[in-house]
Amino acid sequence: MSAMPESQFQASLTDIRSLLSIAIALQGVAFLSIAPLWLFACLFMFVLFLYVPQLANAKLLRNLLTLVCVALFFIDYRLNYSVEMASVFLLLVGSMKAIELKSKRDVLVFVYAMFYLSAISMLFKQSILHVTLQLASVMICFSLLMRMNDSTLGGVRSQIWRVSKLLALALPIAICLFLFFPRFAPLWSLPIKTNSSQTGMSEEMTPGSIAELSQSAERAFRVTFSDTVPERSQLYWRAMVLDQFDGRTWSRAQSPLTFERAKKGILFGQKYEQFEPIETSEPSFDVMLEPHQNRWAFALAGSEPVSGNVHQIGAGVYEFVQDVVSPTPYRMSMPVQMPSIDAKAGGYVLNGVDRVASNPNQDLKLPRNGNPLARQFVEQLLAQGPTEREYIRSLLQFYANNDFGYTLRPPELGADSIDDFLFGTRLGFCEHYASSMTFLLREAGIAARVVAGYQGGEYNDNLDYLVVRQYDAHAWVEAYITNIGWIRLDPTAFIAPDRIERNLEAAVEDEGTFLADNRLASLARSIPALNWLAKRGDELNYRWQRFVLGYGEREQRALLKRVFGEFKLEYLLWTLLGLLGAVSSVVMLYIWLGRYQKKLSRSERKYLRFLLLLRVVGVARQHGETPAAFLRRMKGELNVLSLSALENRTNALHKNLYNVEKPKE
Amino acid sequence: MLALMLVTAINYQSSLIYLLVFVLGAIFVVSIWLCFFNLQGLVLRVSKLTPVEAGQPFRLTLSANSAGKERSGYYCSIEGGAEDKHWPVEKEESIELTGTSYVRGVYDLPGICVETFFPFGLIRGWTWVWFDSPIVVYPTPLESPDAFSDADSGSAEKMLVEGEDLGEQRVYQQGDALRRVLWRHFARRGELVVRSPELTGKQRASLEWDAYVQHGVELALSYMCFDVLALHSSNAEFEMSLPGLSVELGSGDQHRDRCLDALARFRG
Repeated sequence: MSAMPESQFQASLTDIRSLLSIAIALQGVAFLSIAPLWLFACLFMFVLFLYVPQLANAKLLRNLLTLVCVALFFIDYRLNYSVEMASVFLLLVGSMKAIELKSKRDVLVFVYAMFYLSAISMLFKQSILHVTLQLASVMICFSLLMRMNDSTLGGVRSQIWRVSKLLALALPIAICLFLFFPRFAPLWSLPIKTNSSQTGMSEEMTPGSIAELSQSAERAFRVTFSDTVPERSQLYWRAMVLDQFDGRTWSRAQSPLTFERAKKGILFGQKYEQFEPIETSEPSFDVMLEPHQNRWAFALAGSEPVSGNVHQIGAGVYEFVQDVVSPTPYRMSMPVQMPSIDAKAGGYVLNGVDRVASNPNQDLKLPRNGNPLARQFVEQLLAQGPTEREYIRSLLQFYANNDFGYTLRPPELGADSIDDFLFGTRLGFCEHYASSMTFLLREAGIAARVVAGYQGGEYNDNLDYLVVRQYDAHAWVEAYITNIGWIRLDPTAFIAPDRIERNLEAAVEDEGTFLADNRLASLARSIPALNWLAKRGDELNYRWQRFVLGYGEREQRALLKRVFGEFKLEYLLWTLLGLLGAVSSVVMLYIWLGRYQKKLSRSERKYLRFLLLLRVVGVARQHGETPAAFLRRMKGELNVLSLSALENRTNALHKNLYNVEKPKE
Repeated sequence: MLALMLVTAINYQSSLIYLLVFVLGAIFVVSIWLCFFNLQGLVLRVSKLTPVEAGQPFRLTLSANSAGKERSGYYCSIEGGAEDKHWPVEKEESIELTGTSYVRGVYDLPGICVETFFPFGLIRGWTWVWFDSPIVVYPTPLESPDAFSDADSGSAEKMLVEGEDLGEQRVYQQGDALRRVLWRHFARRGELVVRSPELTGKQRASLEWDAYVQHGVELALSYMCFDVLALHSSNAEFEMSLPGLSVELGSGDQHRDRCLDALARFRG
């Protein structure tokens, strides 16, 4: 490559500069949602430097810009490694290389940086839009390379045409490889660290935190059921138990959690685990989880993991070994329906939510002080000496009979938040009810905990999946009743039955607060066309996640099984090689025969086609014989009809090629 | 690069990175084929290779026949030469290359390397071409001390000069050399008239080896060479004889090249 003269590079410098700025701008758009603001200012400066040669030639200014970028980068990220940091770094370095454009090598460095940037950006962004942008960036990079090496290249249009043609030739080969290239297990442990903010649930619940979450219409996960879909009121998607209370905030007790993780050997970042579901005839459901930057998995109470990548860590809570940073599939078995002891309160007996091994008193602990009114209230109730079930019933009645209201805009609560809510405001969202009820249960000596997760979901009948969104976030109560076990209690169901039976939108319809803080989302939902579009978009996304993002070893096996009846690695390799061979020869043949063959005009094609027809009759134009000479020779040999046809075509040919009416006699 | 990306894809089990790796890999493979087929089927021809003076770099003109396909540019270099010339074959049908210099003699044309980096510069496709055309390197022309112009008046043994005449004119016929056309006449009368070659008083000369040999072989060849070129430029007819070889009476470029070829090949 060193032998290559730089003349063409110098000649096409302006084109190269514009292509470079397009590539930088594309990446800027792709990083809009994750990169810090200063990066865009820097990228803008880079583009400016590319377009204004005076700036680009001022070495001092260039160095200054580089220095500022590096400084900003270190101030912002320090040395906290994350994938985003790495990609921002790559983008910066590539752009710096682009503005000190001296030789082909600089462009090559830029192109390689952009290729790797495309790859790692897909670790934390997998949307169709992002992939399209990255594909465009790849094409721009190839255009850059082509600009320097293809002397026949004309304007921008011929450039785009060339590169897309090349991509079209390469795509069949890429698809073959994608489908049949053997997938390996990860080679070593490389936990991905991202600094993108957590979305969805958090490990803490304070009054108002779930109400806030309910302003988002983002997708949390999707579920496909292998069998019948359970009733909506049964869809309690458990994420975690919040069993520690400090008087205001519910959180996860860390010591039992650590103990359980250590026992499973998943305490520290492990190698990424594959989906690897177990095929069973038992009813099950598949979840496609959106990245939430945490480890927890959502499940119905009593379901068991049927894929290798989720682990139970006690109290019916499931986890991955790494933070979920990309859409992740997992499979759980359908729980067996348990009897209810109080259907109205969602009072179902639960299976498999016991603490496997931990401090059992965790579910009874309360702070020593605070909330005196609530404690007094419990004492009053207990004075009548009720059984555990009677006590629970009287609590639920208390909620039902005292004008408690369900609202997305709960008033602020003071230091004694439980007292304030129960005997003051009496307006709250699910977390207020779950929190206060758990407090009242614990105070009475009944083991209880808050469970955070999602409730319900929206069913898509076209593609048979349930989509659960952030506004489906919910919190409820689980209590332990002697001789019966853990039961689920949902005071919200008492106060706002619509929330459980229909959805949040219906429950707060009168209030009109559904997605009120999220203008865009509520607007999208209120316009039917947009709503329809959003639904189709969601379906497209579902297909994308399922068939492209979700394509792995399992799908490969299933595909081969369908073709050959069983799976063997040899089959996979032979299929890959065979298909590659076939596709490659077609592509190669296309290049050999068809590539850049000179285009014939219509009259030429017509004439040549007619000559082929004449061959059937047995006459052929001789080598070197002009059409006019051929016509003269044919005058005695052909019948009148074919002769006049030949004459017509010859005349048309002459008219087209030489602009004469007739060939000279 | 691709391997690094593939390892990333495997470690993070990322379908999309797999896909990206395969797309890049496939484009790479296709670019290999495009590179190959950019060269494949190309027909090259030496269209001009004139005899060259000893010590001067030879010049070579190559022309290409694209065999009906659109082709992108090449880079050409001559074996041992430093030059690597870009040849945008779609714009220019031929390219002139400059080679190295030689001492007197006849040489095989060194190999010519034709390279292409189409389409991305990631792949280099190249071929060596060896042509049959010989390079004729004639001796450095040196003016003889007993110079030609002097001989003009006296020594008739070296050359035989017949009286020069302005000659007669006749009507231009196809094939007549253009430099014989009387252009002034054409401008005045509008008819093409030539000085008849048969009638033109023409220099006739004979270059004899024996007349030069006294200076030693190489020097003699140089002197003879000078005379050949001088005679050719003055459009004279001449013949040449070397030991064991003689070139018959004649004139014109071909005749000159024959003489130079003989001088180049001569081994004392």
